[in-house]
Amino acid sequence: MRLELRDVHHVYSPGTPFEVVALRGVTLSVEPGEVLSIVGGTGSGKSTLVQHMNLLLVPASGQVLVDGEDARTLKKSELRRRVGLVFQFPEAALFAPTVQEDVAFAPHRIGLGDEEVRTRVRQSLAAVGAGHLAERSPFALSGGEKRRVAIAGVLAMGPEVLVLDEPTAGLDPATRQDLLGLVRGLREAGISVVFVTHDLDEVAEVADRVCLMEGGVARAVGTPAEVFYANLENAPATVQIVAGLKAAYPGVGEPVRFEETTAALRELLEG
Amino acid sequence: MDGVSLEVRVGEYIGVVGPNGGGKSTLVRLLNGLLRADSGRVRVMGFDPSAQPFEVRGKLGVLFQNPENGLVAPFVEDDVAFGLENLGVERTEMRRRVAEAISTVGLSGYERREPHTLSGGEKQRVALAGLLAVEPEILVLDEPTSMLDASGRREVLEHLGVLRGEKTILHVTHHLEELLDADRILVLNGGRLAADVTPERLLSDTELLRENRMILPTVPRLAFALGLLPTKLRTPEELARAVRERAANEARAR
Ligand SMILES: Nc1ncnc2c1ncn2[C@@H]1O[C@H](COP(=O)(O)OP(=O)(O)OP(=O)(O)O)[C@@H](O)[C@H]1O
Ligand SMILES: Nc1ncnc2c1ncn2[C@@H]1O[C@H](COP(=O)(O)OP(=O)(O)OP(=O)(O)O)[C@@H](O)[C@H]1O
Ligand SMILES: [Mg+2]
Ligand SMILES: [Mg+2]
Repeated sequence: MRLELRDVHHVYSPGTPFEVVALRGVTLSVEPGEVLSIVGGTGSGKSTLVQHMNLLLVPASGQVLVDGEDARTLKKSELRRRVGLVFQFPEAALFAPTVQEDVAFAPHRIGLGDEEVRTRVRQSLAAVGAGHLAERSPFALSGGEKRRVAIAGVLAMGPEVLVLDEPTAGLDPATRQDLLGLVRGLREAGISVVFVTHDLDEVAEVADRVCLMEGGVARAVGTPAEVFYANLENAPATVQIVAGLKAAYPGVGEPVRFEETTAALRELLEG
Repeated sequence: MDGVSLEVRVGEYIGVVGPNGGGKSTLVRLLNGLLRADSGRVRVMGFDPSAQPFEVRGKLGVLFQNPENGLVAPFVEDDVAFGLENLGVERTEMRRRVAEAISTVGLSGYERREPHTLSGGEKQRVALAGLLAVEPEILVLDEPTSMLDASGRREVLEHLGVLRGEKTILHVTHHLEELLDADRILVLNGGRLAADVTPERLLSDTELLRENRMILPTVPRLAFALGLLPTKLRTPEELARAVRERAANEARAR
């Protein structure tokens, strides 16, 4: 699926004293099978932006297109199945008596058979390292455990575009790495992933493209190297390190990923 | 919690780390009396938190893990004042502290916003302001920066640096790079205290890190991969300088 936002504006509580203009004309596409990272400061509009991708929020003006068609022409339920969204605070949406029932709820509701649902529940819980929590109450879990279950719930729907709003916040480092592995696996399977995060080191490892938000506009969109080397104050550690060497060693190039950067710096040290 | 013994002295800055479900937030809830230990003893400045919660909560303030759960009042300023009201602080003093805390977390102008309409990072800042306004002697922060951007993270760490020494601080986090200056780091795993070590020790103990689902932060990991001393290098600038110096030395040697 190709998802496109065209000149999207969003205003919260318009015409009231609480009015907030959160998006001021964002144009952005999510290409089939790509990992698109959305980064940017607190309150820059990231969560607002991604909630337009399945029309949980409706633009004040501008358009959302699915494979070139206006997303409003699709049934809401179909759109939300195809574009799965994990909220920034997904814990609040957990509700069933056990973790596996929670994850099974939405797949059941779209009419999948019992066997299929069981398989999907098992696979999605395993994918986030939460298989051992299946029988537990979702309310009696640690913060990171709840987050894993919430991600599994959306994975189980088998979306074509998976939108993750700060999915790694609260996860331990090894689980964070596992989640990045999962994202790569989804990309291999042709699923697009939109990944909102403050952890730029993660972006460096998985993103095909990066969108840098600032004050409700997309300040830069491009490959990680393009965006980060032009916006050093919003760059991962690897890029900041290399940027500190470019003046003395212009030949070092513009590596972004950890392995690339290690190789470039080794070469530099070996002369 | 499975047989944990530990002691924190006045003025210490203690990091708390470990895998999801390791017991970090349970420790936090035991300290402020939300939970009672089945066996064993918890004392905060001599008080038993589960039996004397009010004595303890005036001295030990907590920032809970999920900033959404803590926000209760209709406006940001009431939310920040909430803890003070419970302590019976006088009105002008209360207004002063609320304004100061809101400005410390960079939310001036947000006083009359409704907390539930804020972005994730803004909510986390409100929750932090609520704790700062109380000015407790002991601050317990459960993943205080999980939703913050890089500059917000830096500001919070700088502020904790300012409070350091004057206050006792327990800082729970999954980001080891935030704890490089801590006096000690407690590692909780499976409800047990897996380690109580200095940051240098933890960063150089690959096995201990791996067993507790931790990974070296990017800068020391890259330093390590290049054969530079990882625990001495913290910021990208420091690592870049070390690489420049090493490259210049090697060029001279050649
Ligand atoms: N329901 C709402 N009503 C009014 N204003 C809102 C609402 N939700 C968000 N805002 C405001 O819109 C702006 C953008 O918020 P958004 O949640 O999209 O930011 P964000 O980039 O996701 O930030 P963070 O990194 O802190 O999660 C912020 O200034 C926020 O205060
Ligand atoms: N209310 C509860 N009822 C039953 N078990 C719980 C409850 N809250 C937490 N647990 C369990 O207790 C253990 C410790 O949880 P705790 O919240 O202390 O972990 P944590 O170290 O804070 O993890 P995280 O990094 O995910 O926040 C976990 O196995 C968790 O599933
Ligand atoms: Mg957000
Ligand atoms: Mg916790």
